[in-house]
Amino acid sequence: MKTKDDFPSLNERKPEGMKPDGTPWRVLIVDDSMFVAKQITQILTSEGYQVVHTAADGLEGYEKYKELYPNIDLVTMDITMPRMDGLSALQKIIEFDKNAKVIMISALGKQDLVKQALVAGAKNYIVKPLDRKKVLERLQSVLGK
Amino acid sequence: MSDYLDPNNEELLKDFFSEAQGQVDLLEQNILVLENDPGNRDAVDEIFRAAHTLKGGSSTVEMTELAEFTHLIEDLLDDIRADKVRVDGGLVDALLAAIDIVKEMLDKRMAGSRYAGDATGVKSALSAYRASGSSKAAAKARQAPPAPAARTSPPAAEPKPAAPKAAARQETVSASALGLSEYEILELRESAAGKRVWRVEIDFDESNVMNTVSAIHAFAAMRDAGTVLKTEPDFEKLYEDTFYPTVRYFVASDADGDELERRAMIPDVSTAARIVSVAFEGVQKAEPAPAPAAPRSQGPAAAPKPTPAARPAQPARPASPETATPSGGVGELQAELAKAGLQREAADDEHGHDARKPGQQGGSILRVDSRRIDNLLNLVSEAVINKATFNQISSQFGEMQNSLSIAQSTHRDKLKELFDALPEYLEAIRQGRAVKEVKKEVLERFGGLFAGFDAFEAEYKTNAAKFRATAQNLGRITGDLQEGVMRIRMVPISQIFSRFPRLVRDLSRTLQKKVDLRIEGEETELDKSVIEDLLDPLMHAVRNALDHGVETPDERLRAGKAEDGTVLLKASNEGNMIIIEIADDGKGIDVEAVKKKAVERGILHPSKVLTDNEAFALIFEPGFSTAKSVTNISGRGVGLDVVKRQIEKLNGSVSVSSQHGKGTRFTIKLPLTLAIIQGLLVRVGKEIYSIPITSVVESHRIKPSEIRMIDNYEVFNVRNDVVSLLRLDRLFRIRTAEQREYNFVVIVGTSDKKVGLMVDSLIGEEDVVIKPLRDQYTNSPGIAGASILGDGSVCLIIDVSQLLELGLKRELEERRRLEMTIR
Repeated sequence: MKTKDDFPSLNERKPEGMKPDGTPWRVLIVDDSMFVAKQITQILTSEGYQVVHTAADGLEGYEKYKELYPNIDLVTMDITMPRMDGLSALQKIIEFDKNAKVIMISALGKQDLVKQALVAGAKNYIVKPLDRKKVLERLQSVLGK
Repeated sequence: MSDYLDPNNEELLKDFFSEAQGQVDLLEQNILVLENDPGNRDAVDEIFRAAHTLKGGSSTVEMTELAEFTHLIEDLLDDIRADKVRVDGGLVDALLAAIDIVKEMLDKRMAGSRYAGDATGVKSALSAYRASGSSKAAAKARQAPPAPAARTSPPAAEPKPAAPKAAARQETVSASALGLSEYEILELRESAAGKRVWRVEIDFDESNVMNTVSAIHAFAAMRDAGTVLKTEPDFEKLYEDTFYPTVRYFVASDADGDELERRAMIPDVSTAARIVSVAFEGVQKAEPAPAPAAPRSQGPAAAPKPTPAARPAQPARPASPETATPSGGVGELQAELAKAGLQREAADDEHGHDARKPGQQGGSILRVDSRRIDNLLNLVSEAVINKATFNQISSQFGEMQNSLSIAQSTHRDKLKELFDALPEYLEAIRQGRAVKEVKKEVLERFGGLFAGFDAFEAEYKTNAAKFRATAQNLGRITGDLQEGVMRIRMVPISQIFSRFPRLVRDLSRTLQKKVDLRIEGEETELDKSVIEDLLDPLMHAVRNALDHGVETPDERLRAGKAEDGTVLLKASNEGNMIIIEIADDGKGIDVEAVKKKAVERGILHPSKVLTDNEAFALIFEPGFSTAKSVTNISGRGVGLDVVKRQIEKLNGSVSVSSQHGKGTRFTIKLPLTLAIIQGLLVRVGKEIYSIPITSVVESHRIKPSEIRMIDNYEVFNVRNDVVSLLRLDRLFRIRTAEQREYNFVVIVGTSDKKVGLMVDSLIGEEDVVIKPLRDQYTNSPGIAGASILGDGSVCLIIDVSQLLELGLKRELEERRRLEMTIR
């Protein structure tokens, strides 16, 4: 559902999704729920991020990351997915590129998995249901570093 | 950097250090004796002698600071000896503190630098006792903050001249002032591996929907900046589903305070971060750091350069009971991470290793009783004589060969003559010669044929007997030699046992428990290489006994026991094994609590029925701790897991037995030496492998029809157990005819983990000498080393623990592949 909030006026401020050099941050979304993936895509593209690919499970996400690397800045990773869960995919990605910036997307109540993911190298996490402000804030905190 | 840099005197220095260490041990032991028995003249004399020797030695090698300091101790001891000073608890504390400084000085010297810490506190305490010799002075000294306090909790606030000037936001605080115990400080220091240590205190936002994740989130952020050495509350607790509003992280990092703060401030997660640099007073690592104060002054660039004046300000180093004790700060945390099923970068691992070798240098010196060398020399001379005998026998064999060929040729000639003569005799008989006459003539001419080899036979018999006897002798001599050389490497276990009285004393104070340590069998001997690796696990076990075993005096009295708990440390021989027991009369292991915890931790399935012994074995699982609150001494739940791993590395085994309310007993079994093992030789294809007999449980001969498949794995039944099979031929890719009537299976492993190795045939038991493999082969999994058999062929020695792991890993991989294909 698009609200007016999702389309802020670009004239008022610089969109967050731009790198200092003016090119957009490139994001890979890994999520088995089409709805959530779309939601994230909308939030991100509205701020100028470029969603380069949407993978439907961990394995695809991992393969895609390898394929895209190094032309990828950020990954959002759902935790529960078929074929390969987010945690394993995260570990694989970190193994492949230890500086990978991965943000976990988790439903409430999966605290232990989020902890494991953070220890394994995830940079941050976002709690479902997604809140536009929080999503952008957490993305920025990761990219800002 | 030593003042005494004469290359020719390396030897002398080495001798000095090894002697000095002996003296320090002697000092410590006798001071502890004195504590329990203040009137013990012998102990005082012994202490005095040791201090005196130390003083003399250190001035010989021109280590003035050491000489001066020991001189002070000696003076005080002189007064004690002359009954001018009465021995009391405070005095003992002061003396122990002094000895810690001596140790520190020695360590520094050994590392090639000089002690830079400040000993004035201890010095003044020592002289305070001396000053009047009255108990009044003693009391005064006890009030004087630095001295006795330096032992248990080092001076909290020795003001640092540099600090007040630096109007820094991130100030420096001494480790002890942060309320850390000695062990924590020691652990932190050793695991920091020379980096700066920061304490980062973070407040978390409770309104965050996933606030229980925050502490781990910050942990991950901190880890990116460096190595997280310790957290408060403990890492394990952070992992539980509880929200902690404030958590402290101890981080070793090269980053500066601002950087850390930036990382600590995670939007929506943390609300505030306070960063403090932690200083370990007087404890620089052995590196030739020209700026001792630099690590704890503020930012590297902004810091005022340390002035000489800053040096003496470092208070005396907190007494660490075991200076050389490697502690597993990083290791422990890592173990916890590993438990969480996650990996850390290898870099962290390296820090841990670095920290494990404080001040070690060169090859270690071994002191050997000269009688053992004499004995060896004696054996060698016997071997030389033996060799001469063999030479003699060999020349005699040469002669025998000659006489044999001579005898042979005469025999042959004679035979030929006989054959030639036969027709003549036949002819003669036909012409009417009497047979009797012919017979007689033949006998006369050729009778010698029978006796032709008699001389040779006699010679052969004597020589063969001689050879046999000499070979037997050789066997005896080599056996004795082997034992003799082994005995050279044997050192009494008292070398490490002697460190425990002090450890137990300090620990029991920290824990406020009363513990009586009994040591038995300290003369039991063990291979030096084993001893060196034994200290750590023993220490863990003893710590564990004190911390979790022995109750507080109140609890003991309530339970109807004597107020003083007893911890027994006992070593004994049992055949080719050494048994070390660590027993306490404390509360024992609560089986139910253990089971409950194991289920909670996911180590154990709730419905599994366990015997008590199996339940006890659970405490060795990684990440297990039943203590209600985790303490800094033994309680991160990794201690026993480490103990088990280290003992197994030494080819030993650990078991535990316990009676609830009565006490706990840990039993460690170790092989006498690592160099020679008893092996079971087996054949696979054309290759021969040796399996260490200590890990062989049993062997079976089974028909192929007895092998079943479960879950795509080959297994077979042993009584009530199902054991999975590992075919060595497949594992090592050796071609062999797999189809045969019978298969031989050697079951290896420990009580909880077993696997059957399928081999072609069993050959037998034999002592095998382990020869380490060279680098390029060491990576071969499942192989511990090689050995040469009697016939000169090479056999590989199987590393059972690795094999078990290998089997497990393969299994997991298979399973994973399977799951992938199913999906």
